[in-house]
Amino acid sequence: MKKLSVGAWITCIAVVLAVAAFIVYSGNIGGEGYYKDAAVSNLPLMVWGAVAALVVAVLISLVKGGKLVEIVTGVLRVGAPALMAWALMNLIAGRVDGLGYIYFSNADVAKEVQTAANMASAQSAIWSMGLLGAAVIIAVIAAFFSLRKKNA
Amino acid sequence: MKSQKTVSLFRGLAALMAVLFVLSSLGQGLTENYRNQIDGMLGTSSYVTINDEEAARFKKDYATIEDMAAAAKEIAIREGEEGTVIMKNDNSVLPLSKDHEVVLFGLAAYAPYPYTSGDLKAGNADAVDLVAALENAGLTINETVKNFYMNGILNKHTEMVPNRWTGEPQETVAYDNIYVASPGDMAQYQIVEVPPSLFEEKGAPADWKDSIKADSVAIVVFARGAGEGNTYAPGSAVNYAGEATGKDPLALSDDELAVVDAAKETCAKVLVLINSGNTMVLKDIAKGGDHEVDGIAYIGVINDYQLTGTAKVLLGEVNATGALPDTYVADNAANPSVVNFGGSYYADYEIVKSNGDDPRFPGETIENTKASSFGGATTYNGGHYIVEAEGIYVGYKYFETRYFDSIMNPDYKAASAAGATQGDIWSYGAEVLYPFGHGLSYLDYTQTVKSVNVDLTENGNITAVVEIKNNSDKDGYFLAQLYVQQPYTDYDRENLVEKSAVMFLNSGKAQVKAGGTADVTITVPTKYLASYDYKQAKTYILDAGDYLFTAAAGAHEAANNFLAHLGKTVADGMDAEAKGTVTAWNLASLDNKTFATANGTAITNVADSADLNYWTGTNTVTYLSRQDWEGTYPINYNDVEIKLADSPKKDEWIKELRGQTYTIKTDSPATEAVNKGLRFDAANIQDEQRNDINNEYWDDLVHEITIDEAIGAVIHGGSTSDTLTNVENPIVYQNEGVSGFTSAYNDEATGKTYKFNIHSQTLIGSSFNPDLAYAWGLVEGNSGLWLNRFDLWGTGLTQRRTPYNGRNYEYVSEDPMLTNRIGYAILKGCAEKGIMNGPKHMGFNDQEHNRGGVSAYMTEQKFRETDLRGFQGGLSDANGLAVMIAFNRIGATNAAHHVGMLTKMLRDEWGYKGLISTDMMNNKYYFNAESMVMSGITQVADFAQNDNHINQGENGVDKTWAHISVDTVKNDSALVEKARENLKYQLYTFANSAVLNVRTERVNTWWDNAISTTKTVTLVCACLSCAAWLAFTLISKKKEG
Repeated sequence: MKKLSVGAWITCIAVVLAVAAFIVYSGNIGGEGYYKDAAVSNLPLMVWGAVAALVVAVLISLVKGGKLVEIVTGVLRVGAPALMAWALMNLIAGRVDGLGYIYFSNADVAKEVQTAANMASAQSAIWSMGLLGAAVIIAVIAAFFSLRKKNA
Repeated sequence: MKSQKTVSLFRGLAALMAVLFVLSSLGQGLTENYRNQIDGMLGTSSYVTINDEEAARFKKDYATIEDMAAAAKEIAIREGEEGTVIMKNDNSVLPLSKDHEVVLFGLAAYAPYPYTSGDLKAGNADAVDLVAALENAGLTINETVKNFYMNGILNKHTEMVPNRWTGEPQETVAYDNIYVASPGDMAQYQIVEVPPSLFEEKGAPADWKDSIKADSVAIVVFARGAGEGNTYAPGSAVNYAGEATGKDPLALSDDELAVVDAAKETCAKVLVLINSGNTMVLKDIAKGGDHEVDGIAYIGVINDYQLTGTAKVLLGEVNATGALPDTYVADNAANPSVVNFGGSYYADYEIVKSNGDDPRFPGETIENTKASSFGGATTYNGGHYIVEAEGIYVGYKYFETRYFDSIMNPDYKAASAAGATQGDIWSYGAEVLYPFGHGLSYLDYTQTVKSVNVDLTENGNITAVVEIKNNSDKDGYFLAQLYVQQPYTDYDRENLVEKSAVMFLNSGKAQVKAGGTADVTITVPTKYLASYDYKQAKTYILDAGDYLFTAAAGAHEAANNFLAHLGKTVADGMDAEAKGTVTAWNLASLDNKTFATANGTAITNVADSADLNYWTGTNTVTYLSRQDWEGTYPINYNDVEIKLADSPKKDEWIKELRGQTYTIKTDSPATEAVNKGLRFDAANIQDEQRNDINNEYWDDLVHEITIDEAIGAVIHGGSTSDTLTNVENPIVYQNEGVSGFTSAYNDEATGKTYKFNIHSQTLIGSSFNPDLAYAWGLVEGNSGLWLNRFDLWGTGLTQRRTPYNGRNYEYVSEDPMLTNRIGYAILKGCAEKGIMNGPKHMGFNDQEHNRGGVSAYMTEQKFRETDLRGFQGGLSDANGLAVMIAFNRIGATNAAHHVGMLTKMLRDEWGYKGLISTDMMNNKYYFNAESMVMSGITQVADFAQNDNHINQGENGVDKTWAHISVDTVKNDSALVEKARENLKYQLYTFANSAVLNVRTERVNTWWDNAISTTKTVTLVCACLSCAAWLAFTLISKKKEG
């Protein structure tokens, strides 16, 4: 572990954020409220694919390798945030109509549409998007740093 | 070291650029779907409108926007003048005198409903409230009371309320005390009227009563709110202190009555104004009430300018000509339609639930519970029903018929206990406070039918000439109302053909010189004289016998005229002598032919399954029949155990409740599109195409539409029409609302903003004046031309079946024919200006409670002669161009799936060629795509845009209904051809509207350009960064090596 540089630790934060986003998302579609059962197609595949790519990149970097290792980890670290960004856009596309209903309904119907369950569901959806967005940003920042300390 | 940093830099840049590329690429697709909303938020415009006004087919009537605004304002003021109804006028409280100070009591006196602008109220800068209207009219208002109400009790102010989306504080208008504007859905309703005992606590000076002169006149204003998704619950009232009282929320509360008492104590006379679209219970302040006042007037739900007109009526500057569009009763429970208000659940509604066995949603658990008004639950929402057992006897048709029978036909047991709320025996005088059509005139006048001509042909008219005699010494304006009584025969009794003893037909107004007379010619299509016989003839019939016509100031006066004509007097039980004469028209024998066809279509039953008995196979429901008031008065069907499993049609019933009205076929391949190069444009559409939907151009045009787009454009109609690939039709935006276009016109030359949603549905109803409604229709149409908006949900024609519907303020009346004639006039005016004005919500959306699934059961006579008759005038007689269908079910069938109503009746019988839109598609388990296509829906309102395809979901299926795809529909030629036919009606309607006045061209906004540029730049940068990263990686390793 001593071989890991700041880049690896930032990558780990991105992984944690992405996992947290997925947990919140899972709660969102599993719990009561507006988005119950409203799964977003391929989102698990994309999020877990990105997480796996980042974890693999960190693990590979523990092995002192040559340029091949450097290139493979680099590809994974460039691809993973892009994959997460793709997942984020799909999530937004799948949630924006519902958020519109819940937050921007005519005032006459606000009481009815803004039930506790729907509000909690909407907030949970926003949290999942926020966490995934943060994961994307952190993963991009991480890509500016090496995973392995020099000469470690 | 340096090269390693360079490697990291380019790797980071590659990641950043890749992310930005993904975001901009996918974001571009996302923004395309929400272009309209983004334009609205950013103030951009994605389409330019090219308007060649000289060549336009539909032209504006006003040269300048100022003229346009003035015309709209004039109509609104006339609505106040003609719609204000004087219900009670004792002790000469009216007209008001400028010599006496006026004291305003009640929260609504200083903030009439609605007090905020929005769908119902325009909010123009020169809007007039009641205080301003009375002061402008020259009245002096007591300042002491005004001050403590405005500054102490109401205390209008602004509050910083967090924005629901951003959380940022934003300024919002608020009051310390104000009536509840939205009653909620069958919730408790607090009547927030501050009682006089708290006046001083709220800022009134201790001697406020001393400030009132002894000869002052009090005006007390009471309001009730309303709204979409709202339904009043009987017995739900809560007082100012927050205590449940168990009273009707539409009755005056003790706090309100205390205000009345304070007004009576301090002023010489008291006038109460009713500011509501929901019929209130006024027993306490009516004649003989414990808190009787001198005068009561109805002012409806006001808009920007109506109160100026109301003030003119109150001061007697114009004669009062408004009349009540509803019956006011001593207790709302006296309405048979209220007996089982709200509805109930089938005892075994859970058996409709799918445990994954619905082939359209394999593996999904779909409940059968309630969804909210906005959906959001995985449910068919088909467990809830209401039995509309009152049949045609809604409002005055019940009360006046029962009154008539109590005198004329004692065998019918009208004077029994059934339905009585004011004593052991039902009595008209005890139950009814103010009848339908009642409205006091300042000037004494008589109205007499001089002649009636009945043209007994399919498209014939009844033409009645009514003479108005002005008995006063002032010139004035007067209302004439035409009523009829159809014969009620042995045939009717045997076959349960119900007849109201009094039926309103139409009305008109005229100016008459003092002491003079004037003739008003009133016409109405003869077909409305016929009754629907759903049991024997299974078509419209006219019974043999005398048809009695009379002109009267209300339905009750008409009933007395009929009774007198038939030889009855006060000695027989009439509560007043007749005031008018009767003219009879005789039909020698039963006619079951003349109105058995319409527009070349044989008329027969289309809604047998709307009857609950159809499903249960037994006489579960006894529908109200006047031949036995006692034995057929509705019971509460909410308490009857109804089990789906007991039905001989159980499987069919469950299928319908699951929304499987139509099942996609697999054995009849549809033809793909053939592009003949035709396009939807002015060059191709000339008079011969515009005047004939059967012109081959239309068939050829819609057969250019692919299977994907034909189905997709119908089931994803959205809030704008979609541009079809080979048709190149223009984008058409849909607009709200029932008071007129809510969009504002910004005059760039002056910087002024004009809003034209200044109309009041309630006051146009109480005006009883189709000519005024037509004038409004023309103004509404003109405003569309100024706004370059052509498709509008611009009126509401649902019958006010009960007083409790939260959207009664959007509708016209309890009476189908008053609604019919007002709807006819508004839609005719709009159509003449090329505006597609679609009335809401056709098909028994008569309660908002569980509107998205409740099954309304009824007979076919009710189906044809009540709610739907209200729409018939505008859609059939006036050739209206659009309609929005109800949310609820008719019987077990979603109204938007109802082939009988939409294809057989609306299209075939009525000859309607316009748009048919659903209401908000908020539940894919309730709204079924293929069933909506097959019923004739031209656009499903799913509020998305540019999504007219069924291949945008995962694996190329539809994004909403995954069982829909090109593969699953391509072998159902009937479905695909029906979709193309529906689009033919849509395109044909566009061609006959002002849409062709303009062309729309899509342009790139700054944010389009920003996204495109970002996409391109980031793609290039991502590639370059990757290449650089790769190169430096290889170089650095080489150096290290």
